[in-house]
Parts: sequence; structure tokens; C-alpha cells
Amino acid sequence: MFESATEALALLFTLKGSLYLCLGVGIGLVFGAIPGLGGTTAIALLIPLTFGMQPAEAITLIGGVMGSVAFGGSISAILLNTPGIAPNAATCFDGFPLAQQGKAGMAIGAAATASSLGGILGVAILMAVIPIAKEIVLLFGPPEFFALAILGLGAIALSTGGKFLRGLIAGGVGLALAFVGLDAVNGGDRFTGDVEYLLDGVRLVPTLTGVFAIAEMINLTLKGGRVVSGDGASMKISRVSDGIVSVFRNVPILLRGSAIGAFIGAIPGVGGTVASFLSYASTVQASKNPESFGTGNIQGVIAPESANNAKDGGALIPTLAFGIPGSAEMAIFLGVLILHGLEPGPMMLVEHEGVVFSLIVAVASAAILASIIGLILARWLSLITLVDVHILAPTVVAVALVGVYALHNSMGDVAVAMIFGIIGFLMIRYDYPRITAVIALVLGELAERSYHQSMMIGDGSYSIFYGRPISAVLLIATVLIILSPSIRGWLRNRKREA
Amino acid sequence: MADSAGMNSPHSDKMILNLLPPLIVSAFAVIFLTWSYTYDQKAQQVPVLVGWSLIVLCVLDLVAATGTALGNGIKTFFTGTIVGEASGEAVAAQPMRKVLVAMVWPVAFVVLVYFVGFLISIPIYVFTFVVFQGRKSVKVGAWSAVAATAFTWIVFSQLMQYEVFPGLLFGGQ
Repeated sequence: MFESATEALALLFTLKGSLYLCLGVGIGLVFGAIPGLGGTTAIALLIPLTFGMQPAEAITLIGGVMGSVAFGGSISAILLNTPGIAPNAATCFDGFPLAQQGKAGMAIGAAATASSLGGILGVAILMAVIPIAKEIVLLFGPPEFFALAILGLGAIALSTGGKFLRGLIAGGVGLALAFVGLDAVNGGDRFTGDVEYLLDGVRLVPTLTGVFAIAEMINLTLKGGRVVSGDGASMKISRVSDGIVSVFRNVPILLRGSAIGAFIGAIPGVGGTVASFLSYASTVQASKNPESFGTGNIQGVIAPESANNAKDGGALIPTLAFGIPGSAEMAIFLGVLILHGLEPGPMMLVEHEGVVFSLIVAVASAAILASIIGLILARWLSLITLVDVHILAPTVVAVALVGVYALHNSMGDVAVAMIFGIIGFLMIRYDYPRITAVIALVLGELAERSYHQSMMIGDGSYSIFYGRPISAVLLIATVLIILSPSIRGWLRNRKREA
Repeated sequence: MADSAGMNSPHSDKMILNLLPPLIVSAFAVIFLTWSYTYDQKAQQVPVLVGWSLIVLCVLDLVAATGTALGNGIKTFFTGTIVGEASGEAVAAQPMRKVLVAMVWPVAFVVLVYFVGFLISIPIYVFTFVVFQGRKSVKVGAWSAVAATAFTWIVFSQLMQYEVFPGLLFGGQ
């Protein structure tokens, strides 16, 4: 094991190894930062490039992309309130208000540090868990998946704070949209109106690009000025070092975010979006000052960023140990492994230990390298918040829509992004939380499918959900999450009265 | 007459504006629920549950928007500040004409893309937006248009080798 780890490190320090890693990191950062692209597209595009490479070299290149995409997405989330990839949406909550206050450098510094440390912790968890991965993953059946999806939806209640009612309504609309397309249980089509494009359902990337990027640009057009509020002449970009220091002042949040990220990442089909939001929601819940979130609290950047990068380590557990990809990105990565003659499964660690360690080293190094690049560029990147929105808005709209089109070469995707751009803007205008709709859209299909599968396993009895320990614990956690704002208010009132 | 005057007061205008979004969502929920019932028992089970829940929530939202004692009670129950979302009030203060213009720009861009493709639409859209909406000089508009188009062409067409939609008039499908 030690020998394999040393060999993997040695490869990284060769000219070829470091070149592939840097190339992967560069591509990952760019694909992460441009809304609509993301890691899945980047890895898919790189597959032909890896044909002539040794397996360890190919894995280093792909690992570079995987380790850096998440941080690339957080840059646009912080500077433009436009998440590069879906899991970065949680970073917008506090990252963008910080940018508006002229603290973009601080937010990017915190995101970079939390990302790299989260990535390293995720990989450490992966190494620790690989020997017992099989037992852990097999503990999760449909009832647990259902409970986990419900837990994710429960986080909606928390992330909408006091705007609970409209948050739930937006979540309900998101769920309704999640049912569009082929029915996961019967295979028939639902709510498509015989439109062929909708058979695949409401696609996430165009929807996200519309709800966040397009909507935000319409909003900025109306507000005018710059992304940064106030007088641009007196605005200063805060020190990046403040952001780095803030992460070390919030180590428990970093550790909790990384643990949530690695855990959620390891469960196939749940993904980084849920991990980021659960991490954010748990930080809000644990905070003594929950009202400060959403207004530029640096903890609101650290929590989702650490979870977002740690999830890669977790997601590799089912991919490497069982050949079960946890996400689209992992499914394509699985293809890369098979292409290079590596068969994922329990024997992979035994037969291809060196390759596994190359991947682990590449993902961890990529997270660090991406953060270093991000920290170096943070001050210059932050200047984008000082650009006039009337120059920024059309450019972002144009580039985001080209990215959306490029994903499936579909003008239907562009139209969907535009429609959701208008809907997203109206949601901002009338105070309907956009993110609850997005979480529900992500989790709706998983929740419905797991529900039907569980009912089949349990012969139609609901005891299947509360009779299994993990499912029961997750459901209790959901109830506590939903009730926590009321409990907190009640406790506060009691304290005041006393 | 007094009623008529009251109906046109800023207060009643604001109330109508407040009622409009929950009414639209309610209409969506009713259509969704009705549609759900057209599917077989298993396929409709979860959508029907979501549809009914959505209708109940919309009714609560509608009552809350009326400003009556019951509505205020519901508001108080669900009150607080949102985490992670800016308030829409600043935007809501904008005149409707301005809002519509801001929404029409990207829609017009998409329509233009549909006919003449991205590489022709981007410079036209960016230039006209910067000059007419942003009221910047022609020089700034031209530079912005060139930069946005060059970025798209270099990154998407050249580096990534993506086929950027050429538009219906130029062979796009």
C-alpha cells in the first residue's frame, strides 16, 4: 500500500505527471466556472485525449478535472451569483452578498481553502473507508434512499428561514416539475404533452442556468451599476488572506462539511447538490446567529465548499469498490476506467492498487493546485464585480446560453434556460426562494422511485420506513430539521420570558 | 364612487399585485393535479399528493396576501427573513415597463439565435444592449461585442470543438 502511494506521488512529480495534472486542473477550473458545462462535460471531452496514455497518466488527468471543477464553479457563484455547477448554488447564498460588500477576495479565499481542505479530507475518508466500503454501501436500500431524499427536502424548510410558506410552495413546484418525463416506476411518459424533448424530463443544467444566471442578469440589468453595491470609487477588494484565516477559525464547520460531503457523495444518486445544501443547512442550524446567513456570513461559504469537494472522495467509494457510479460524472469516469482495461469492483484495489492511488493523489493534489491558482487569481477575478452590469449582463447571458446549447446540441435546452430565466426572475421579484424549487427538482425523481420500491419490498406497509434503523434515524432527523426553526423560536421566547 | 376610488388606490393595487403570484401558482397546481388524475393508480400516487399539498399551501399564501386578521395570523406563523435570497422589494419598486424591457432583451437574443445562430447574434445582442440599454458609447459597445464573440468562438468553437448553433437560416436544425 505504502509502495503504491509512493509510486503515485512519484508520477505526479515527473514532467508528464505534473503536466497532465495542471492540464486537468486548468480545464476543470474553466469548465466549472462556465455555467452549463461542468465536470461531466469536461471528462467526456477528455476521453479521446486519454487513448494513448498509460492508465495512471489518464487517471491523473481526469483526477485533475474532478478535483478542480467544484472550485471553478464557486468563483462564478461568488462573483456573479451564478453557480458554475449545481452544487455551487449553496455558495451563492453568502458568497454573493460578500462580493456585493466588496469582500469577494475574502469569499474566494475562504472557498479556495475550504475546497482544498475539504478535498483532502474527502480523500482521507475514502482511504479509511475503502476496506469496509462494501458493508456501508449495502446498508442503503430503497427505504434509506427515500428517507435520505426526504431529509434533503427537509433542508428546504431550513434554508428558507422564515419564508417557510413560499419556500414550501417553490419546493412543491420543483417536485411537480421533477415528475415530468418518463415515469421511473412504470416507464410511461407523464406531463410531457407529447413533446418529445420532455421525455428526458426537465433537464437540470438548463434549468439551473436559467433560474440563477439568466434571472440574476435580468435582476442586475434593472438594478444597474455594478455587482458591488455602493460607490465603486470607494470600493476595495478585501484581502484574500482574511478568507484563508476564516477557514482556520471555523475548523468544526470545515470538518462537519467534509464529513457530510464524503457521506452523501458515497451514496449513489444523491450527489453534491444535496451534500452542499445539507452542510449549509446544518451550519445555519448550529449557528448562534442564524439570521446572519444569507447576508454575507463567511461560514455560509465554508460549509458548502468543504462538502462540495469532499464529496468526490466519497463518490469514488461505490464507483471503485462496486462499479456503481454515484453521478453522471462518475458514470463517465467509469467509462474511462473500463476503456483503459481497469474493471472497477471489490478486486480493483487488490489488482490495480497503483491506479487507485494515482487517482487519490491526483484528486487531492488537484484540489490543492486549483485552490492555489484560485488564490493567486482571486484579487484579479474579484475585479469583475466592479464591471458595469450593462456590459457584464449580455456577456454572461450569451456565454451561459452557448454553454447550455453545447451540452446536448439542443436549442430546446436554450429555450428551457430562457423560460426558467424569466420564472427565476419573477421568483426573485415576488420573494419565492429559487433554491427550494431546485432541490426539489433534483430529489423528486429519487424520492418517488425509492418510495415505490420500498412499498413493493414492504408489501405496501409503511413500517418499511420506520422499521429499519438507518431509515428511521434519517426520518427522525428530517422531522427535527423541519421543526427546528419553531423549536428555536420557542426556546428563544422562553429565554426572554425568564 | 367611494368603492371605485378605493379599488384604484395604491393600497388595493399593491394587494392585487400580492395576490397575483399565489393565484398563478394555484392555477398551475390545479392544472397539475387534474393532469395527475389522468394517469394510472401507481403513476398518479405521488403527483396527486404533491398537487393537493401545493393547493393547500397556495390557499394559505392567498389568505396571507389579503391582509385580513386570518391572513396576518398566517403571516405571523410563517414570518421571518429568508436565508440566502435577497428581498425582491427593491426590484418590485421598478416600473413595470422597465421590468418588461429587461426581460425582453434575453428573449430577443434567443429568438435571434434561433434564426441566425450564436456567432452572429452575440455581437448584435451585446452591442445593442451595451449601447441602448446601458447607454454606453459606441466604442465601448463595439469592444464588448468583439470580446464576447471572440471568447465564445475561441473557447467553444476552437478549443472545445463544439458545434455552435449556426441558426435556422444557415443550416441549423
